[in-house]
Amino acid sequence: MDTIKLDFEQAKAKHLLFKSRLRALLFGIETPDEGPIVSQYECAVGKWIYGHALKDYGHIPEMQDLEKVHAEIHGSAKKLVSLYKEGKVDDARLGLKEMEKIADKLVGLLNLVEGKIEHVDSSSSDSNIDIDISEFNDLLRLNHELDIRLREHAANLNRIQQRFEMIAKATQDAVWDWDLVKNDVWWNESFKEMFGYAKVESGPESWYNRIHPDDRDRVVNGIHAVIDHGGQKWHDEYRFLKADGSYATVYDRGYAIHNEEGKPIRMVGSMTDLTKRLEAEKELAYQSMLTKTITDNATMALFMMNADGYCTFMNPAGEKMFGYTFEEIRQKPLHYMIHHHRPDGSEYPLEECPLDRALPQNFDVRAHEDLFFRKDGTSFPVLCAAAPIFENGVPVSTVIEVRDITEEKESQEKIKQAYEDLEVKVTFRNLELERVNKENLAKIEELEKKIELLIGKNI
Amino acid sequence: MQYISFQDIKNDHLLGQWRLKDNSIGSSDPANPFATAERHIYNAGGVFILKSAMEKRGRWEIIYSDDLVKRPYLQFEVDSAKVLALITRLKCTEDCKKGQMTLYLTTGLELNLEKD
Repeated sequence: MDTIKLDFEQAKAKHLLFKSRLRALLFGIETPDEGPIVSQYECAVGKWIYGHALKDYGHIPEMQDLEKVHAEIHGSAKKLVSLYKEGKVDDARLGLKEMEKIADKLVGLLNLVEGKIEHVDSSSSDSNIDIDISEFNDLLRLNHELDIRLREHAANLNRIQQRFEMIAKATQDAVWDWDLVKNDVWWNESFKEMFGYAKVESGPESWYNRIHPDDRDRVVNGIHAVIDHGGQKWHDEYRFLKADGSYATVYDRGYAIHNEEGKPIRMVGSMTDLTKRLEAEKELAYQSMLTKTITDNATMALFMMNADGYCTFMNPAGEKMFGYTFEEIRQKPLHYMIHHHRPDGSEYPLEECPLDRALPQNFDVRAHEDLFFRKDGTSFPVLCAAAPIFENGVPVSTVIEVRDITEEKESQEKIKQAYEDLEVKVTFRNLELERVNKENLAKIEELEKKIELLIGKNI
Repeated sequence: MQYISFQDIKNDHLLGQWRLKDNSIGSSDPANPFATAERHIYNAGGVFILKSAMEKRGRWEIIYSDDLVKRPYLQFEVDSAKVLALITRLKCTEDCKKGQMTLYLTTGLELNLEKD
């Protein structure tokens, strides 16, 4: 091979090696010595230029341009390495494209100078040729390996990006991606839908300014405490302004990403609108409170009985009426606790109890009068009702209402007795009046007879 | 103390000293010695004593006569006058030492008596 051609081919190869090592560094594949990358004098091409090329080919005017472009390349490489070390990895990698353009100019100038040398002097000395086949082979291997890994890296990044985008689209949460280096925030489409905004700014103020003033300091201090102290996970619940001026209550959580040096460079997270859930919880709490108020203040005893006949709920009126605590009454089927005997004193089998039949036979018991028993063994008359409760169409428990009708029964009995008494008293007095009347009539009859006798004598 | 069925009322239930608790229709016959007496004493052998400021003695007897009323009467004979009273309610302890009784007289007077 022509020695000059070989010399220039070697310079091009060395330049290629430099580019490969720079890329390997910026993509974290290798951690090569930074000297030959950032210094125009320490790199192999620099050594070639300042070693013999300027001396041998300096008479070609473009050689001066080549030396300047080479210096420019290293200036650019130095900046990219600095960016990378500062954690601005994406910026550094993006900068590679610009540097490639300058690097291409170097290759063009090498070709130009090489062409002019051949044209001017094709019999140059071969004393400066330091071709190293093993280094060249190493370069080719590294470059090939780098290409494979970069393709894999790019494919992987692409998959991750696609996955992220799909998740960001699929989720109803507002997903955010905060570039801590550029201080730029990206939101997915759900953000607009969730909070009603037609568009959203890209800066962090798109988030910060919408936090409720009363929550803002706490939230911002909280997230910065995580970011600034090397933490990874952050979450908080706060009020967030919607486009219609109302505030949504959101649960926000984020995950901080750090570079190799531990500096936070990015934070990704999502916001869930808790407003409806909190409203539902509030409504549920209200309903629970309402139910508790009703059951606590009811004068009727209220029971819930499961499919096995065991008590699962008893209100305070039930405890007072029967003398059992809830813990006590749930020990056996409810029937055996309060309904074990009939009014005539005979045992009352559970299988015959209409209240226990309500669930399996699916019927309501209404206005059923019976006799129930207290914990102390005493009994009292009750008016009760039982209705099965359904879940998904399946009867699962029975609600039982029990009213102590002792006083009603006594009142009824008193009224009944009063009526009976009244009837008897009236009859009694009528009989007496009848008797007196009969006596009076007899007396009148006797008097009349006497009068007739007296009149007869006088005639 | 339990109600005594009207058919089961016997002399033993009545024997003893009864205190007038109230006379709810007393105003209809205020002068009646039964309305003013503070105590009714039913003694064995049919001796009856009405005690107040004055004491009146007579006789008492249970009469089971009338099919229409289906309750026993108490017939008193005080100051040679017969007085008929309907037993409308009688509660007694098993030993008959304590009791509550309501009597309804033909005059319309109703007496609530208590034995303790």
